[in-house]
Amino acid sequence: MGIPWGDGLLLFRDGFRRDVAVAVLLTILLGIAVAAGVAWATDAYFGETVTGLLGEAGEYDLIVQVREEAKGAARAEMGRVLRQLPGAKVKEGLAIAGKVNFFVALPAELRTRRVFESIGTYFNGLPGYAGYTFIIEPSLTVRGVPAGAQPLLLPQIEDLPGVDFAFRHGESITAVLKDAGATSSVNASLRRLLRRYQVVEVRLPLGYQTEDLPALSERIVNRLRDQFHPRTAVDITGGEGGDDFQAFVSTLAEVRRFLEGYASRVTVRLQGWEPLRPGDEVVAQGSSSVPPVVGERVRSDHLRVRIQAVEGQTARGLVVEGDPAPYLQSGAGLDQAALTAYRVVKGDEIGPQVGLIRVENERWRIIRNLEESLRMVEQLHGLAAEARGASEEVLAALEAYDRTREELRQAQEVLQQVNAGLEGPLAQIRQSDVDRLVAELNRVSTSIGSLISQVEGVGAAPAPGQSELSSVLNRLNPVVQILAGFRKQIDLFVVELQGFSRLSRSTGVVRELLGQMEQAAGSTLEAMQGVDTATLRLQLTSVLERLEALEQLDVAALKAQLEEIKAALPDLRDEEIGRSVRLIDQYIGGETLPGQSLSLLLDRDLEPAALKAAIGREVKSDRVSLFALPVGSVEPDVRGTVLHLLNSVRGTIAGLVALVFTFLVLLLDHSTVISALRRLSERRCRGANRRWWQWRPDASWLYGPLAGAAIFTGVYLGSGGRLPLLPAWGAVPVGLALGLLTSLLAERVSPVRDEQILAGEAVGLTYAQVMREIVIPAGRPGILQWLNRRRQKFK
Amino acid sequence: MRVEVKGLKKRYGRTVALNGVDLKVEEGEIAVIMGPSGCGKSTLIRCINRLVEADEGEILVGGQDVRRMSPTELLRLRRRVGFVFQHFNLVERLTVLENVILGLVLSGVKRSEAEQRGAEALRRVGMARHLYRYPHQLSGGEQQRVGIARALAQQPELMLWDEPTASLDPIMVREVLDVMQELTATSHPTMLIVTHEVPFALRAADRLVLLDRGRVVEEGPPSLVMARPRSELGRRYRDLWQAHLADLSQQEIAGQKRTISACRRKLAQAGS
Ligand SMILES: Nc1ncnc2c1ncn2[C@@H]1O[C@H](COP(=O)(O)OP(=O)(O)OP(=O)(O)O)[C@@H](O)[C@H]1O
Ligand SMILES: [Mg+2]
Repeated sequence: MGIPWGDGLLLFRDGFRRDVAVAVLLTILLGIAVAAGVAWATDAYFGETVTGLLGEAGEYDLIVQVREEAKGAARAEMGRVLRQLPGAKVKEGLAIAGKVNFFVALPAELRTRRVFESIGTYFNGLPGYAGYTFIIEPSLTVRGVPAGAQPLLLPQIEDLPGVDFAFRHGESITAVLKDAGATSSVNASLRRLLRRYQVVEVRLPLGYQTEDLPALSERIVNRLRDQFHPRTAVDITGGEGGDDFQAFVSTLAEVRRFLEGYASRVTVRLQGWEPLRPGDEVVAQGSSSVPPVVGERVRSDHLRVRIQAVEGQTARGLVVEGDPAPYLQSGAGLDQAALTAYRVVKGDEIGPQVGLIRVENERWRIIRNLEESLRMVEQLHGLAAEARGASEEVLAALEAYDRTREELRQAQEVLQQVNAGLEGPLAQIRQSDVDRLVAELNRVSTSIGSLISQVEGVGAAPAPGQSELSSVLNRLNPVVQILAGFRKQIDLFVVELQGFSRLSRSTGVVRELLGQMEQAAGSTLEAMQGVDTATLRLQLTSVLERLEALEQLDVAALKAQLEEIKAALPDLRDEEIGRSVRLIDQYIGGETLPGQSLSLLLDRDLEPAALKAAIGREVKSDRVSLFALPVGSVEPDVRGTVLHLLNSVRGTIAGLVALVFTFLVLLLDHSTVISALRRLSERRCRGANRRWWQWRPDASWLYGPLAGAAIFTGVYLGSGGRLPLLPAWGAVPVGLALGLLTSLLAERVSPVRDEQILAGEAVGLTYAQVMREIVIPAGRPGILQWLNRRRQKFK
Repeated sequence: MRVEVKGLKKRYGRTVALNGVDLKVEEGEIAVIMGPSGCGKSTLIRCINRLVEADEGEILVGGQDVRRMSPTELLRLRRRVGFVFQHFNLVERLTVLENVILGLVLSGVKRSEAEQRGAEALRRVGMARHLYRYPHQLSGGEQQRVGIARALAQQPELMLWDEPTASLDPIMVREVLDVMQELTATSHPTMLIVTHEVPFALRAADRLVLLDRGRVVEEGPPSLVMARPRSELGRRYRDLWQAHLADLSQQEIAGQKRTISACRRKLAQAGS
């Protein structure tokens, strides 16, 4: 059969090939001119806009932004600020996004590091002040330099040739250049400088406790120095505190701790034969009526526990499913079967026995204490009343005591009088005296009797005020004992006295008796005087006052308060806690808590793996994580950035123009050629006489993509086109695709009839002549047609 | 120019268009090729100047094998061969005259000379008045006459006609047939004519070739073929021819009657 496109290629004989080549070449040149021209025009237009926005290059040094609503006030204040910066100029620029931009130009003598580093202090008093941006030109800015690394980098940057001076602002260092021509060389040397360093962030493992972070980092730095001998090894851990993420992680860790505080702590006393590891799960009967049976499935009401830590023969864990209440309430009262824990195997099968389970719950303990307190509060009221009664009794006893003492004193007086009346040999005891004495002594005896019964009646005092009461009683008791003895004496004496007065009335005996009595009364009185009843009474009144206050307490309110506390305790179920803790663990995983990370400035060529190993050894943990970051990145000044952006816009526009241009040219010029090629190819065989699998791409399918690739690649690269996501070599496939698309559309855009070609062939025209005289002139106007006109004999 | 075709074969994909065609046309002869639609007539005639490339066989034109010709030899041959298409195949953007002289000018004939020859050719087909019109301004018959003029302007030694009247309405067919009649009646080059016009064919042909399904089924002088057709196709053409003759005699009688009455009228007029 021959080459499938052999027939079509006839067309390129006799010089038509050259026509096409010339056309394609010219097309490419024209395309480059068009694409580059359009791009240049846009560029020029935008460049002008930039100048309008930023002023001429180097004209202004910074933009101070002020909220639009404060514009007027700020404008007035600006004058005062500028007086502090003599020679400075200000221009009010556009308001963008609600902020007015004031362009500030500083005189040469104020363009210094000192002024720039403190520029904020001049302007932050402006009403509505919203920050400032440096637009110093020419300058280059290194962004993202950690504060700790800045003192080290700043002098090095200033030493670079072409740099006038440098200054710091925030996390950036701006190098002000001597002239714009130096930009690219300084840029290169800045990059080279930054490439010498790396910032290594060391995150200590979760829960790592260090006494003293600076000391630790010093140790780490020293170790690194010893081990690697770097040119630079500096601790630049900043005091800036954690970022938002770290704050979040620490909050999570806090929540986790809180949750764990409320979770039931399950301990499994291992019985030795079945080792457990953290992450394993065990199951016990829980609130289920059915104890776990080895080999069966875990029931949902079984108590399921995830082991967190194992130390020796004790494993600790958290409940992930089921209710631990039975273990909390009856504790040791449960039988062995309920206490036995089994390992969970294959997801939810009950495996071998591992040990005995015990559950403690802080929340449960608090609640129990609260309940106890509530009961106490309720009792308190009654107790206070009771205690008050007891105290009042003791007080009454004290009064009886005083009374008794008084009576005793009176009785003693009478005794003395009677005794005195019996002085002298013939003195006769008188009946009236005896009667008086007896009455007196009887009164004393009764008094003592009631005192004794009162003191004895006080009995056991209840809790509140107990100590005070018993101390009073203890003071009284010995005296009461003496009194009891004395009373017996009195009673005896009275009996005898009565007997004597009636029978013998022997003065001598009576006198003796009276003497004894007087003595006894004296010593008793002495004993009684030894008790300071006034003080005791005072003591008791204070107790009474306290009890009264206690009685007046609003018990209901107190109760309500306690109930409230009880209700306020988080009512978290163990399963929920377990699940949450697991989630948090998954999330924070290896995250380190804020503050537990260090930043080191090191030589770039130190290997992270080696560093990690060395630091891990110093920290004594292999869970240290390391992040190596660049010290900063170089950015051109604002205009430079915008122009860079414009440059890429320019490239994009050129690329788009190239695309449109190529497609247009393909459709207008080359679709005619493609259609002609297809006609020739069809002569060999057309349409229905061919099966679909016999279809061969004819020359038109080759020509279109080739022309497309040649033109697009030429125009795209030649005009400096740069489409996003399209690398330079990508132009070729894009061109091929455009050509293919044209091949598909060709016959609709530029139909060519075989009859026309045959007409030429039949009269002996070469293919080139057919194309030049018949096909091309009948096609769409374009470069090919335009070029063809000079070769055409029949215009 | 003598034409001899031997064992010519041509297929388009699955379709066999010519399946071993043998044909001889002597210098100055008029060969008419007839056959049903799709039997390969156009293919055969186009193979002769290689507008279609044959697969197998020999095509001798003026003693030279067309299939072995170099591109230049082929171009030279085509300039000596006039081709008349069914669909006229005029170049739309060129005037009548330009269409006629296109081949001449591009093969090196001076423009003025070419225009003279072109104008002469157009005069011969009765199109001298329309030199500067464009094809779309002409009727079908006129366009075909321009097509014929284009072939004539080549001063061909061989003329190939591919159904020149097939896409015309009957009145235009007449126009074109008149021109053809004229051309075949006077001195003429060798001609191969594909046509369905049976009367014209039989009258003009020195040799009749009947083609059926890519093969020659009858070949010889028309009177002979019509008298003793050897094939089904031949018999059908004979029937057609006889029906035509019968029709023709009816027309002739009617025509003579019309002439007689016309004469009578004239005589009566003259008499009064
Ligand atoms: N380019 C082609 N591709 C495929 N098949 C073709 C092509 N040209 C012709 N054929 C087929 O070849 C056969 C012969 O075609 P050809 O045009 O020679 O017949 P024809 O006798 O001239 O018919 P008509 O009276 O319709 O003009 C037909 O079946 C036709 O469909
Ligand atoms: Mg045909």
